[in-house]
Amino acid sequence: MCAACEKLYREIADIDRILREMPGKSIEPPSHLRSRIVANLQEEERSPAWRPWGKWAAAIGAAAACLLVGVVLYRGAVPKESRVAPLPSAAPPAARPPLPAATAPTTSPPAVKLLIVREVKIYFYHPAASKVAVTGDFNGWNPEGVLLTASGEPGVWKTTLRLRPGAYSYNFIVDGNLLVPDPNAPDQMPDGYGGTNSILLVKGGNSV
Amino acid sequence: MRFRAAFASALAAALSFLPLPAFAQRATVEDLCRLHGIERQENIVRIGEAYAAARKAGIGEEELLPFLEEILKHKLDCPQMVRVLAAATKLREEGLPYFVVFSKVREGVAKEAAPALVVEAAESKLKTLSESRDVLKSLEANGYRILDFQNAAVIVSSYIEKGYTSDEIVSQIRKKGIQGAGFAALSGVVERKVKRKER
Repeated sequence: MCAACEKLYREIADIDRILREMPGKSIEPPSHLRSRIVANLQEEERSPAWRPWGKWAAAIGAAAACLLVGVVLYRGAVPKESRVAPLPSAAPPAARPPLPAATAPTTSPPAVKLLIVREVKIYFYHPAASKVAVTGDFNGWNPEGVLLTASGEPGVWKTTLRLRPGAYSYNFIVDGNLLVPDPNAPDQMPDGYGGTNSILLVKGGNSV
Repeated sequence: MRFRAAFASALAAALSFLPLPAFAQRATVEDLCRLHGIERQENIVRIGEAYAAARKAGIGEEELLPFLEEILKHKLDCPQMVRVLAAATKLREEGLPYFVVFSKVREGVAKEAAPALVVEAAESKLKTLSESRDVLKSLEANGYRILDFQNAAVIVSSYIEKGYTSDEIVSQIRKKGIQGAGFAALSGVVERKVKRKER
Protein backbone atom coordinates (compact mmCIF):
# COMPACT_ATOMS: atom_id res chain seq x y z
CA MET A 1 0.00 0.00 0.00
CA CYS A 2 1.31 3.47 -0.81
CA ALA A 3 2.13 5.96 1.93
CA ALA A 4 -0.65 8.39 0.96
CA CYS A 5 -3.20 5.60 0.85
CA GLU A 6 -2.05 4.34 4.26
CA LYS A 7 -2.43 7.82 5.73
CA LEU A 8 -5.94 8.19 4.26
CA TYR A 9 -6.92 4.79 5.57
CA ARG A 10 -5.80 5.68 9.08
CA GLU A 11 -7.74 8.92 9.06
CA ILE A 12 -10.93 7.18 7.98
CA ALA A 13 -10.37 4.45 10.55
CA ASP A 14 -9.97 7.09 13.27
CA ILE A 15 -13.21 8.80 12.25
CA ASP A 16 -14.97 5.48 12.24
CA ARG A 17 -13.62 4.61 15.68
CA ILE A 18 -14.68 7.99 17.11
CA LEU A 19 -18.17 7.60 15.66
CA ARG A 20 -18.53 4.11 17.05
CA GLU A 21 -17.36 5.23 20.51
CA MET A 22 -19.97 7.97 20.74
CA PRO A 23 -22.57 6.64 23.23
CA GLY A 24 -26.32 6.70 22.42
CA LYS A 25 -25.81 8.07 19.02
CA SER A 26 -27.25 6.19 16.07
CA ILE A 27 -27.17 7.89 12.73
CA GLU A 28 -30.26 7.25 10.56
CA PRO A 29 -30.24 8.03 6.84
CA PRO A 30 -32.63 10.75 5.69
CA SER A 31 -36.19 9.39 5.14
CA HIS A 32 -36.32 10.30 1.43
CA LEU A 33 -32.95 8.69 0.66
CA ARG A 34 -34.35 5.20 0.14
CA SER A 35 -37.21 6.30 -2.11
CA ARG A 36 -34.80 8.40 -4.20
CA ILE A 37 -32.44 5.50 -4.65
CA VAL A 38 -35.28 3.15 -5.57
CA ALA A 39 -36.72 5.71 -7.96
CA ASN A 40 -33.36 6.03 -9.71
CA LEU A 41 -32.88 2.33 -10.13
CA GLN A 42 -33.65 1.12 -13.68
CA GLU A 43 -36.40 -1.43 -13.75
CA GLU A 44 -35.09 -4.84 -14.69
CA GLU A 45 -36.31 -5.90 -18.14
CA ARG A 46 -38.85 -8.63 -17.70
CA SER A 47 -38.87 -11.54 -20.10
CA PRO A 48 -42.12 -11.97 -21.97
CA ALA A 49 -44.21 -14.96 -21.04
CA TRP A 50 -43.53 -16.67 -24.37
CA ARG A 51 -39.73 -16.29 -24.13
CA PRO A 52 -39.18 -19.71 -22.55
CA TRP A 53 -41.16 -21.23 -25.46
CA GLY A 54 -39.54 -19.09 -28.13
CA LYS A 55 -36.64 -21.40 -28.80
CA TRP A 56 -38.92 -24.41 -29.06
CA ALA A 57 -41.33 -22.58 -31.34
CA ALA A 58 -38.48 -21.51 -33.60
CA ALA A 59 -37.08 -25.01 -33.67
CA ILE A 60 -40.50 -26.52 -34.51
CA GLY A 61 -41.04 -23.87 -37.18
CA ALA A 62 -37.67 -24.61 -38.74
CA ALA A 63 -38.43 -28.33 -38.72
CA ALA A 64 -41.83 -27.72 -40.35
CA ALA A 65 -40.24 -25.51 -42.98
CA CYS A 66 -37.63 -28.17 -43.73
CA LEU A 67 -40.41 -30.74 -44.05
CA LEU A 68 -42.24 -28.42 -46.43
CA VAL A 69 -39.09 -28.00 -48.49
CA GLY A 70 -38.74 -31.78 -48.59
CA VAL A 71 -42.33 -32.22 -49.76
CA VAL A 72 -41.94 -29.55 -52.43
CA LEU A 73 -38.69 -31.09 -53.66
CA TYR A 74 -40.32 -34.51 -53.73
CA ARG A 75 -43.27 -33.15 -55.69
CA GLY A 76 -40.86 -31.61 -58.14
CA ALA A 77 -39.00 -34.87 -58.58
CA VAL A 78 -42.09 -37.03 -59.18
CA PRO A 79 -43.55 -36.88 -62.69
CA LYS A 80 -46.71 -34.85 -62.91
CA GLU A 81 -48.96 -37.63 -64.09
CA SER A 82 -48.17 -39.88 -61.18
CA ARG A 83 -48.74 -36.98 -58.84
CA VAL A 84 -52.31 -36.39 -59.86
CA ALA A 85 -53.21 -40.01 -60.51
CA PRO A 86 -51.82 -42.61 -58.17
CA LEU A 87 -51.83 -45.32 -60.81
CA PRO A 88 -49.17 -45.09 -63.52
CA SER A 89 -50.63 -44.26 -66.89
CA ALA A 90 -49.50 -45.92 -70.06
CA ALA A 91 -51.75 -43.83 -72.21
CA PRO A 92 -50.12 -42.75 -75.45
CA PRO A 93 -48.22 -39.59 -74.68
CA ALA A 94 -49.52 -37.16 -77.19
CA ALA A 95 -46.62 -34.78 -77.14
CA ARG A 96 -43.98 -37.29 -76.23
CA PRO A 97 -41.52 -38.37 -78.89
CA PRO A 98 -40.94 -42.08 -79.36
CA LEU A 99 -38.52 -43.60 -76.93
CA PRO A 100 -34.92 -43.63 -78.07
CA ALA A 101 -33.77 -46.94 -79.42
CA ALA A 102 -30.93 -47.26 -76.98
CA THR A 103 -33.12 -47.17 -73.91
CA ALA A 104 -36.35 -48.92 -74.82
CA PRO A 105 -36.58 -52.67 -74.99
CA THR A 106 -38.60 -54.23 -77.77
CA THR A 107 -41.10 -55.46 -75.25
CA SER A 108 -40.96 -55.08 -71.53
CA PRO A 109 -41.41 -58.20 -69.39
CA PRO A 110 -44.99 -59.52 -69.63
CA ALA A 111 -45.49 -59.09 -65.91
CA VAL A 112 -45.37 -55.30 -66.25
CA LYS A 113 -48.27 -54.86 -68.62
CA LEU A 114 -48.55 -51.10 -68.32
CA LEU A 115 -45.01 -50.49 -69.52
CA ILE A 116 -45.20 -52.48 -72.74
CA VAL A 117 -43.42 -50.75 -75.60
CA ARG A 118 -43.69 -52.16 -79.07
CA GLU A 119 -41.48 -51.73 -82.05
CA VAL A 120 -43.52 -50.74 -85.08
CA LYS A 121 -41.92 -50.76 -88.50
CA ILE A 122 -43.28 -48.16 -90.89
CA TYR A 123 -42.82 -48.45 -94.66
CA PHE A 124 -43.86 -45.94 -97.26
CA TYR A 125 -43.53 -46.12 -101.02
CA HIS A 126 -42.93 -42.80 -102.73
CA PRO A 127 -40.34 -42.93 -105.49
CA ALA A 128 -40.57 -39.21 -106.27
CA ALA A 129 -39.91 -38.03 -102.72
CA SER A 130 -36.54 -36.72 -101.64
CA LYS A 131 -37.38 -36.62 -97.95
CA VAL A 132 -40.11 -38.42 -95.99
CA ALA A 133 -41.10 -38.15 -92.34
CA VAL A 134 -43.97 -39.49 -90.27
CA THR A 135 -45.90 -37.44 -87.73
CA GLY A 136 -48.95 -38.08 -85.62
CA ASP A 137 -50.40 -38.44 -82.16
CA PHE A 138 -47.24 -40.16 -80.97
CA ASN A 139 -45.16 -37.00 -81.33
CA GLY A 140 -47.81 -34.30 -80.89
CA TRP A 141 -48.01 -33.77 -84.66
CA ASN A 142 -44.58 -32.29 -84.70
CA PRO A 143 -44.18 -30.59 -88.10
CA GLU A 144 -40.67 -32.01 -88.43
CA GLY A 145 -41.87 -35.57 -87.79
CA VAL A 146 -39.70 -38.67 -87.50
CA LEU A 147 -37.52 -39.04 -90.57
CA LEU A 148 -37.75 -42.18 -92.70
CA THR A 149 -34.64 -43.51 -94.39
CA ALA A 150 -34.25 -45.16 -97.75
CA SER A 151 -34.71 -48.88 -97.25
CA GLY A 152 -32.53 -50.00 -100.16
CA GLU A 153 -35.52 -50.93 -102.31
CA PRO A 154 -36.17 -48.23 -104.93
CA GLY A 155 -38.70 -45.68 -103.64
CA VAL A 156 -39.28 -47.43 -100.32
CA TRP A 157 -38.77 -45.47 -97.12
CA LYS A 158 -38.75 -46.98 -93.67
CA THR A 159 -38.41 -46.21 -89.98
CA THR A 160 -39.13 -47.89 -86.68
CA LEU A 161 -41.23 -46.32 -83.95
CA ARG A 162 -41.35 -47.49 -80.36
CA LEU A 163 -44.88 -47.07 -79.10
CA ARG A 164 -47.00 -48.09 -76.20
CA PRO A 165 -50.25 -49.95 -76.93
CA GLY A 166 -52.91 -47.59 -78.18
CA ALA A 167 -54.48 -45.98 -81.19
CA TYR A 168 -52.43 -43.41 -83.08
CA SER A 169 -53.44 -41.19 -85.97
CA TYR A 170 -50.61 -40.40 -88.35
CA ASN A 171 -49.66 -38.96 -91.71
CA PHE A 172 -46.53 -38.88 -93.79
CA ILE A 173 -44.78 -35.61 -94.55
CA VAL A 174 -43.41 -35.71 -98.07
CA ASP A 175 -40.65 -33.26 -98.97
CA GLY A 176 -41.29 -31.20 -95.88
CA ASN A 177 -44.78 -29.94 -96.50
CA LEU A 178 -47.25 -32.41 -97.98
CA LEU A 179 -49.23 -34.42 -95.44
CA VAL A 180 -50.46 -37.67 -96.92
CA PRO A 181 -52.13 -40.70 -95.32
CA ASP A 182 -50.54 -44.12 -95.44
CA PRO A 183 -52.06 -45.95 -98.43
CA ASN A 184 -51.21 -49.32 -96.86
CA ALA A 185 -52.78 -48.68 -93.46
CA PRO A 186 -55.77 -50.97 -92.82
CA ASP A 187 -57.56 -48.20 -90.95
CA GLN A 188 -58.20 -44.76 -92.38
CA MET A 189 -60.41 -42.11 -90.91
CA PRO A 190 -61.48 -38.55 -91.76
CA ASP A 191 -59.34 -36.21 -89.71
CA GLY A 192 -62.02 -33.57 -89.16
CA TYR A 193 -59.94 -31.06 -91.10
CA GLY A 194 -60.95 -32.15 -94.56
CA GLY A 195 -58.22 -34.77 -94.91
CA THR A 196 -57.61 -38.35 -93.90
CA ASN A 197 -55.61 -39.89 -91.08
CA SER A 198 -54.16 -43.35 -91.05
CA ILE A 199 -54.75 -45.21 -87.83
CA LEU A 200 -52.10 -47.33 -86.22
CA LEU A 201 -53.41 -49.72 -83.60
CA VAL A 202 -50.68 -51.01 -81.35
CA LYS A 203 -51.89 -54.10 -79.59
CA GLY A 204 -51.31 -54.71 -75.96
CA GLY A 205 -50.68 -57.98 -74.15
CA ASN A 206 -48.56 -60.62 -75.87
CA SER A 207 -50.78 -61.07 -78.85
CA VAL A 208 -48.63 -59.36 -81.49
CA MET B 1 -31.51 -15.41 -32.57
CA ARG B 2 -29.87 -18.37 -34.23
CA PHE B 3 -33.19 -20.21 -34.26
CA ARG B 4 -34.97 -17.22 -35.66
CA ALA B 5 -32.40 -16.87 -38.43
CA ALA B 6 -32.59 -20.58 -39.22
CA PHE B 7 -36.37 -20.45 -39.30
CA ALA B 8 -36.42 -17.41 -41.55
CA SER B 9 -33.93 -18.89 -44.00
CA ALA B 10 -35.76 -22.25 -44.08
CA LEU B 11 -39.07 -20.50 -44.68
CA ALA B 12 -37.58 -18.40 -47.46
CA ALA B 13 -36.17 -21.53 -49.08
CA ALA B 14 -39.54 -23.27 -48.83
CA LEU B 15 -41.40 -20.33 -50.34
CA SER B 16 -38.97 -20.15 -53.24
CA PHE B 17 -39.94 -23.70 -54.25
CA LEU B 18 -43.68 -23.15 -54.16
CA PRO B 19 -45.53 -22.72 -57.48
CA LEU B 20 -46.35 -19.27 -58.70
CA PRO B 21 -49.42 -17.77 -57.06
CA ALA B 22 -52.53 -17.25 -59.16
CA PHE B 23 -51.91 -13.56 -59.75
CA ALA B 24 -48.44 -14.28 -61.13
CA GLN B 25 -49.84 -16.95 -63.48
CA ARG B 26 -52.43 -14.48 -64.66
CA ALA B 27 -49.66 -12.03 -65.44
CA THR B 28 -47.96 -14.64 -67.63
CA VAL B 29 -51.17 -15.48 -69.50
CA GLU B 30 -51.88 -11.80 -69.90
CA ASP B 31 -48.39 -11.21 -71.27
CA LEU B 32 -48.84 -14.01 -73.79
CA CYS B 33 -52.25 -12.72 -74.85
CA ARG B 34 -50.95 -9.21 -75.39
CA LEU B 35 -47.90 -10.54 -77.22
CA HIS B 36 -50.19 -12.31 -79.68
CA GLY B 37 -52.48 -9.38 -80.27
CA ILE B 38 -55.31 -9.87 -77.79
CA GLU B 39 -55.82 -6.43 -76.34
CA ARG B 40 -59.30 -6.32 -74.83
CA GLN B 41 -59.06 -6.76 -71.09
CA GLU B 42 -62.34 -8.70 -70.83
CA ASN B 43 -61.02 -11.28 -73.32
CA ILE B 44 -57.75 -11.59 -71.45
CA VAL B 45 -59.67 -12.11 -68.23
CA ARG B 46 -61.83 -14.84 -69.79
CA ILE B 47 -58.80 -16.66 -71.17
CA GLY B 48 -57.07 -16.27 -67.80
CA GLU B 49 -60.07 -17.79 -66.05
CA ALA B 50 -60.20 -20.74 -68.45
CA TYR B 51 -56.48 -21.22 -67.96
CA ALA B 52 -56.82 -21.09 -64.18
CA ALA B 53 -59.65 -23.64 -64.31
CA ALA B 54 -57.45 -26.00 -66.33
CA ARG B 55 -54.63 -25.57 -63.84
CA LYS B 56 -57.03 -26.18 -60.97
CA ALA B 57 -58.23 -29.37 -62.66
CA GLY B 58 -54.64 -30.59 -62.55
CA ILE B 59 -53.14 -29.84 -65.93
CA GLY B 60 -49.54 -28.83 -65.42
CA GLU B 61 -48.30 -25.42 -66.37
CA GLU B 62 -45.43 -26.97 -68.31
CA GLU B 63 -47.99 -28.40 -70.78
CA LEU B 64 -50.60 -25.72 -70.57
CA LEU B 65 -48.55 -22.62 -71.21
CA PRO B 66 -46.91 -23.90 -74.44
CA PHE B 67 -50.32 -25.13 -75.59
CA LEU B 68 -51.84 -21.71 -74.93
CA GLU B 69 -49.07 -20.12 -76.94
CA GLU B 70 -49.71 -22.52 -79.83
CA ILE B 71 -53.41 -21.71 -80.00
CA LEU B 72 -52.64 -18.01 -79.70
CA LYS B 73 -50.23 -18.31 -82.61
CA HIS B 74 -52.85 -20.18 -84.61
CA LYS B 75 -55.13 -17.18 -84.15
CA LEU B 76 -57.98 -18.80 -82.28
CA ASP B 77 -60.13 -16.01 -80.97
CA CYS B 78 -61.03 -15.61 -77.32
CA PRO B 79 -64.25 -17.71 -77.26
CA GLN B 80 -62.52 -20.44 -79.30
CA MET B 81 -59.59 -20.58 -76.90
CA VAL B 82 -61.95 -20.74 -73.94
CA ARG B 83 -63.85 -23.64 -75.58
CA VAL B 84 -60.67 -25.62 -76.27
CA LEU B 85 -59.34 -25.08 -72.75
CA ALA B 86 -62.74 -26.00 -71.31
CA ALA B 87 -62.76 -29.28 -73.28
CA ALA B 88 -59.33 -30.24 -71.92
CA THR B 89 -60.36 -29.20 -68.41
CA LYS B 90 -63.52 -31.29 -68.51
CA LEU B 91 -61.58 -34.36 -69.66
CA ARG B 92 -59.00 -33.86 -66.92
CA GLU B 93 -61.71 -33.45 -64.30
CA GLU B 94 -63.31 -36.72 -65.40
CA GLY B 95 -60.03 -38.63 -65.37
CA LEU B 96 -60.02 -38.96 -69.15
CA PRO B 97 -56.97 -38.36 -71.36
CA TYR B 98 -57.04 -34.60 -71.83
CA PHE B 99 -53.84 -34.70 -73.88
CA VAL B 100 -55.92 -36.08 -76.78
CA VAL B 101 -57.45 -32.63 -77.13
CA PHE B 102 -54.01 -31.04 -77.15
CA SER B 103 -52.92 -33.51 -79.82
CA LYS B 104 -55.98 -32.91 -81.99
CA VAL B 105 -55.45 -29.16 -81.81
CA ARG B 106 -51.78 -29.58 -82.70
CA GLU B 107 -52.83 -31.72 -85.63
CA GLY B 108 -55.05 -28.89 -86.80
CA VAL B 109 -52.21 -26.41 -86.38
CA ALA B 110 -49.86 -28.70 -88.38
CA LYS B 111 -52.48 -29.01 -91.12
CA GLU B 112 -53.15 -25.28 -91.03
CA ALA B 113 -56.85 -25.91 -90.45
CA ALA B 114 -59.25 -23.05 -89.83
CA PRO B 115 -59.55 -22.21 -86.12
CA ALA B 116 -63.28 -23.01 -86.16
CA LEU B 117 -62.51 -26.54 -87.39
CA VAL B 118 -59.84 -26.95 -84.73
CA VAL B 119 -62.35 -26.14 -82.00
CA GLU B 120 -64.93 -28.51 -83.49
CA ALA B 121 -62.37 -31.31 -83.65
CA ALA B 122 -61.35 -30.71 -80.04
CA GLU B 123 -64.95 -30.81 -78.86
CA SER B 124 -65.58 -33.90 -80.94
CA LYS B 125 -62.75 -35.60 -79.05
CA LEU B 126 -64.40 -34.61 -75.78
CA LYS B 127 -67.63 -36.22 -76.96
CA THR B 128 -66.10 -39.49 -78.16
CA LEU B 129 -63.95 -39.83 -75.05
CA SER B 130 -66.97 -39.30 -72.83
CA GLU B 131 -68.77 -42.03 -74.76
CA SER B 132 -65.76 -44.32 -74.45
CA ARG B 133 -65.83 -43.83 -70.70
CA ASP B 134 -69.43 -45.09 -70.71
CA VAL B 135 -68.35 -48.10 -72.79
CA LEU B 136 -65.59 -48.94 -70.33
CA LYS B 137 -67.96 -48.58 -67.37
CA SER B 138 -70.37 -50.98 -69.08
CA LEU B 139 -67.56 -53.45 -69.69
CA GLU B 140 -66.56 -53.22 -66.04
CA ALA B 141 -70.13 -53.89 -65.03
CA ASN B 142 -70.08 -56.95 -67.29
CA GLY B 143 -67.07 -58.60 -65.72
CA TYR B 144 -64.17 -56.94 -67.53
CA ARG B 145 -61.22 -55.40 -65.81
CA ILE B 146 -59.82 -52.15 -67.18
CA LEU B 147 -56.07 -52.33 -66.74
CA ASP B 148 -55.28 -48.93 -68.19
CA PHE B 149 -58.29 -46.66 -68.23
CA GLN B 150 -56.81 -43.73 -70.13
CA ASN B 151 -55.26 -45.83 -72.85
CA ALA B 152 -58.41 -47.90 -73.18
CA ALA B 153 -60.47 -44.71 -73.49
CA VAL B 154 -58.28 -43.53 -76.39
CA ILE B 155 -58.64 -46.87 -78.19
CA VAL B 156 -62.40 -47.10 -77.68
CA SER B 157 -62.79 -43.52 -78.86
CA SER B 158 -61.02 -44.45 -82.08
CA TYR B 159 -63.55 -47.26 -82.63
CA ILE B 160 -66.37 -44.81 -81.97
CA GLU B 161 -64.87 -42.45 -84.53
CA LYS B 162 -64.78 -45.32 -86.99
CA GLY B 163 -68.55 -45.55 -86.68
CA TYR B 164 -69.26 -48.08 -83.95
CA THR B 165 -71.87 -47.12 -81.41
CA SER B 166 -71.22 -47.60 -77.71
CA ASP B 167 -73.84 -50.35 -77.51
CA GLU B 168 -72.33 -52.19 -80.47
CA ILE B 169 -68.88 -52.21 -78.91
CA VAL B 170 -70.15 -53.52 -75.57
CA SER B 171 -72.50 -56.14 -77.03
CA GLN B 172 -69.94 -57.46 -79.53
CA ILE B 173 -67.25 -57.76 -76.89
CA ARG B 174 -69.69 -59.53 -74.58
CA LYS B 175 -70.72 -61.96 -77.33
CA LYS B 176 -67.39 -62.67 -79.02
CA GLY B 177 -64.70 -61.49 -76.64
CA ILE B 178 -62.17 -58.75 -77.32
CA GLN B 179 -60.21 -60.58 -80.01
CA GLY B 180 -63.22 -62.23 -81.59
CA ALA B 181 -65.12 -58.97 -81.90
CA GLY B 182 -62.22 -57.40 -83.79
CA PHE B 183 -61.19 -55.00 -81.06
CA ALA B 184 -57.73 -56.47 -80.72
CA ALA B 185 -56.17 -53.16 -79.80
CA LEU B 186 -58.03 -53.37 -76.52
CA SER B 187 -56.28 -56.55 -75.50
CA GLY B 188 -53.70 -55.70 -72.91
CA VAL B 189 -55.66 -52.78 -71.55
CA VAL B 190 -58.98 -54.55 -70.98
CA GLU B 191 -59.28 -58.17 -69.91
CA ARG B 192 -61.98 -60.58 -68.87
CA LYS B 193 -62.03 -61.31 -65.17
CA VAL B 194 -61.26 -64.95 -64.53
CA LYS B 195 -63.80 -66.69 -62.32
CA ARG B 196 -62.36 -69.16 -59.88
CA LYS B 197 -64.06 -72.47 -59.56
CA GLU B 198 -65.38 -73.13 -56.10
CA ARG B 199 -64.42 -76.45 -54.64
